[in-house]
Amino acid sequence: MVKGLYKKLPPFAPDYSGVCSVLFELGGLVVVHDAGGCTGNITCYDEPRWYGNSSATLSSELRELEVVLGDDSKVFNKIEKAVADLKRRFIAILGSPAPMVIGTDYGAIATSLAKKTNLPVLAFDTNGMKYYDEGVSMAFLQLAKKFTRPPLVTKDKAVNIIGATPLDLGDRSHMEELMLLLLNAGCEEVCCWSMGSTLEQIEEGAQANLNIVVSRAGLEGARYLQNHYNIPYLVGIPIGKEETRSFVANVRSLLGIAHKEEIDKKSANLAVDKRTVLIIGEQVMGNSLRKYLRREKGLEKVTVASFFNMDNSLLEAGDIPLKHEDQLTKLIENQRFDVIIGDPLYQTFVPTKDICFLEFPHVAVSSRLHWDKKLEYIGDYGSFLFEL
Amino acid sequence: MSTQPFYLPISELGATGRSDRRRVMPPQYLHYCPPSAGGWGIIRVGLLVPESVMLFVSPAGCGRHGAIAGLQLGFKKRLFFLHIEEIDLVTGQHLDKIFQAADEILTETKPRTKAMTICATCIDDLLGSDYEAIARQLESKYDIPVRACHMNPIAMDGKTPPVFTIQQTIYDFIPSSPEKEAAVNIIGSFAPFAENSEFRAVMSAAGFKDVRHIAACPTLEDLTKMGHSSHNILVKAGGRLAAQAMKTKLGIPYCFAPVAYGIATIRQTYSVLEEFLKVRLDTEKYYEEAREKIQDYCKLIGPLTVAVGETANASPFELARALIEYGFQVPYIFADMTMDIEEEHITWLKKYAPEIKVYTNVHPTMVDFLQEKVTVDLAIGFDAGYFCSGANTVPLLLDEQLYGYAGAVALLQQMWDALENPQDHRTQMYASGMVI
Repeated sequence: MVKGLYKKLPPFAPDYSGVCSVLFELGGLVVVHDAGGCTGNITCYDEPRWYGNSSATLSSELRELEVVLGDDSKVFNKIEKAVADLKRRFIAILGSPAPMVIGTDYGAIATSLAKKTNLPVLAFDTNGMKYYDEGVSMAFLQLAKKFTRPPLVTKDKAVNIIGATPLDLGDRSHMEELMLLLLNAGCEEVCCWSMGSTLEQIEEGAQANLNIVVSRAGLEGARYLQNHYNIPYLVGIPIGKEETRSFVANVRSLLGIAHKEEIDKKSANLAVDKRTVLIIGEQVMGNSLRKYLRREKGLEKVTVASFFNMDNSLLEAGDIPLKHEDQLTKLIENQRFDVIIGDPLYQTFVPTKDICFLEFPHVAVSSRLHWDKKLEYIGDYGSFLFEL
Repeated sequence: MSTQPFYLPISELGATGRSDRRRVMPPQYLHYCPPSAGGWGIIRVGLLVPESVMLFVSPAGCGRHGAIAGLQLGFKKRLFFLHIEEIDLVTGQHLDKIFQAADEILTETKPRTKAMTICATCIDDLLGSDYEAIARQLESKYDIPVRACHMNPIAMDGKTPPVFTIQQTIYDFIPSSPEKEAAVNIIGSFAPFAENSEFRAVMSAAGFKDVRHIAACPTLEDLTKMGHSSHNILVKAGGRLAAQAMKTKLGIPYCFAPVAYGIATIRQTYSVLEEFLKVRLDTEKYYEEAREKIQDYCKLIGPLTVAVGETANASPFELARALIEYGFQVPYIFADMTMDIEEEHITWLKKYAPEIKVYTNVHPTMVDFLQEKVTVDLAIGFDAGYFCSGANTVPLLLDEQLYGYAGAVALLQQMWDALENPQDHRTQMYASGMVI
């Protein structure tokens, strides 16, 4: 089979969609340097919040002659006019395939724009060939670098959630549920970056006492904050009653609210389920589902596979980074899994009804096809997630 | 952060730029892409070729919207993606992979595919990759027709934008035929005329037994019959390049008889067709029937305010004029382009409805438009429905081609239906599978 040939799956959300998703709610002027189609991909297929919103994600409407001549003057003019018209707090400029061909220097454009407009400018060298998670990662890192300020005061029991975008986490209600859970656990302030927060709140991000990382793409931002401001981070999403107890205990311990409680790794009297499980999805979500399955369902043999980047520190032996569609075909054909969990579009790879397929929609994969499906998974709700 | 959205009073709508596509918005602005943007997209149009498959060669991001629409609307099984990676651009090896991918697709696809389109995107255009040569090689190797097409919005302002060239590509699958018969092809629309249109009966009575359309051809063999037709009738401007190419390659003359909703304009269009086809078209009884039905609907619906958008299957200016002639008020038009053929209607609107505000979908200030809380009773087109939130929306999609007197009646019927059975705009819009 030809590498890079996709017969069943749609192309996944690209890097520029990831950047735009992170910046969506922050009140910036986000300019995609493209001919229009890439912006359409973002706004109509990768951003469930777009309908009815007034986020300024705009296309530079790049044309052939500008690329051939390397003429950046038009994009500068257009951005300056938009800055005057829209009065946003910052500018972000990001790339697409066409300007990549001529090696457009977004850093240089950003420096020049910052001088002309007196606004902070973020630059992202995206090209539509990488996937959304790389864009999300770049954007959270840039937010941490560009906007967080050294803390003059430290808050008490303040928490940032980093890595949340609808592309991975779906509907905003999930993060609202997580924020509520953290407040109930004793946190005094919770800021979920990019889903329900303002740029001003992110600017105060270095005053937090703990960062919760809810996707692999949030790691780089959290590591930056750890290295520069000594803020520890905890990776994971609390799914199901047992795992939530453990998660809350960890949070309380890290915030100094209570000593670390010993939580049983597995509920007493839970029989071991020998069935094998494959979870296909984002790494932190996959790992969190795995913990839930082990703790509450007794499923020991759980493999996480992902088409998106996987961090070595979060890998278990046997986890599988997927590079091409045919790898998934072979994985499912060659290894006999009893249960497969993933976006509904992966079901076409399941050859037999003997394999139990459980749907867990992933917007970065199936876009608007399933983004309205309600699936409660945060906290105690997670215990009712799957009938196995 | 709110700012006054850009608009032009219709009296100030200019006439600068290319005659076939004039922008409403002044040049040199960033573009907004509202949730209501879109139409059929290059991929869906390309797959109108029956029994064909498409291999889309691009960076991963470029094909996402087409693929999701394909999954939603059922054409994904005929659509394959070959992702280009950065290293491919340096080595050009993605062009070699096209041959391997085509081999795999053509060998494995069941039932066996009978035609293939290879679609290139902006970056291969910039690199000067010769997809036409690749198509010729594949055609020779597999003995099936293979064509190249381009989804290259970067060429949107040029002489051959992708929305035009894709139509040229799909009709290029029709081989030349020296034998012609009294039949007409409908070019430019993506759907054949609605069943209730009088057009077929009118043509049949005039001696044209077949009215052919690509979407009504279940097989490639049926498509070849379009090459036997004596005349092409171009009903949407997007098919102009295709009609011109068919004239040259297939020897089929064409006439532009655009979709219209004003009863007087429709009558005029039939006169143009009479001249082109050199026959008398007996349409009077359809005219009278339609006139009566339109009057009945207008009484039933009452005097409403209606906003008109350009995602509707219509010229927004002709449609606005028709609605005003029928007694409705049209305070707003949402349109990004005007064409030379619309000048007559724009001039009429300037005279009889100078209060109309023309907004564009794409001006950056439209990001804050919803804060204006513009209200109308009814919107035609998803864009008008989006910007005038709360209005009952008639989508008037490209999926159904209304035409002739029956088309005008059907429009009013759909307006009545929208008032009687209001639907959630977001649900309605996402269900349509519109693509940028």
